[in-house]
Amino acid sequence: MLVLSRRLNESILIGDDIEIKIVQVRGNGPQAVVRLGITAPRSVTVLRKEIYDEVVAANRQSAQPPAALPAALLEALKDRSSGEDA
Amino acid sequence: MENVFEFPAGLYGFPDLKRFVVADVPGGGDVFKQLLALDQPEVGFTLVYPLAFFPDYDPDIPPEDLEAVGAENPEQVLLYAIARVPESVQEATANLRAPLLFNPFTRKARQIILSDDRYQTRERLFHRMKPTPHEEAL
Repeated sequence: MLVLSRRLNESILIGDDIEIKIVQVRGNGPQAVVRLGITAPRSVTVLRKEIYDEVVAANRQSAQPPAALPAALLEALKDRSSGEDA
Repeated sequence: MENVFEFPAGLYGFPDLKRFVVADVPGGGDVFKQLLALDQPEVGFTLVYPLAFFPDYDPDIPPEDLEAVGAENPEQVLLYAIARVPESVQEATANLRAPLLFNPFTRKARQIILSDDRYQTRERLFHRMKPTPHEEAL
């Protein structure tokens, strides 16, 4: 991993068109928070990594062998739509 | 096979699975579908049509993601969410943070992660319409 030191308002460039700027640094030690300003083309997806990890985990936990839907789910669905009609 | 969709980028966590069949589920109508990996038949997902449970669901879909499935505007794609259906179905959830876009015209599909913090990966399908005893009395 490339590790760089930057000061407030300094940037790094990734390729020609992605810029990451240190916008604010507050706090010290483990509580320190760094705010980053990111300029990138719209085609580049920028995500907090924990959201990405959460989606990967959610997908893996949702995968299952093909099976019929639980009868209880279909019942719940029916109850709902009949409730809406009423 | 008419209901085969190509996911050029795979699904998050399953980057190698690029072709899926969208199958009807008995009793599921248009609300529930199954998404089955063509090349790995033991991998399947339950899909839910989010507007059936979350009528206000209105994610902002980036134009690049529409382009990736060959669509010019949001009206050309169908949105589904991956559902988790545990044994206790009242606790079923939908991943509204990372919906799937299907373009029925190009047969391309894509999972996107919204930058919108309003939507979570586990939104319960049923808790909102549990009628309160008060409402039932009316």
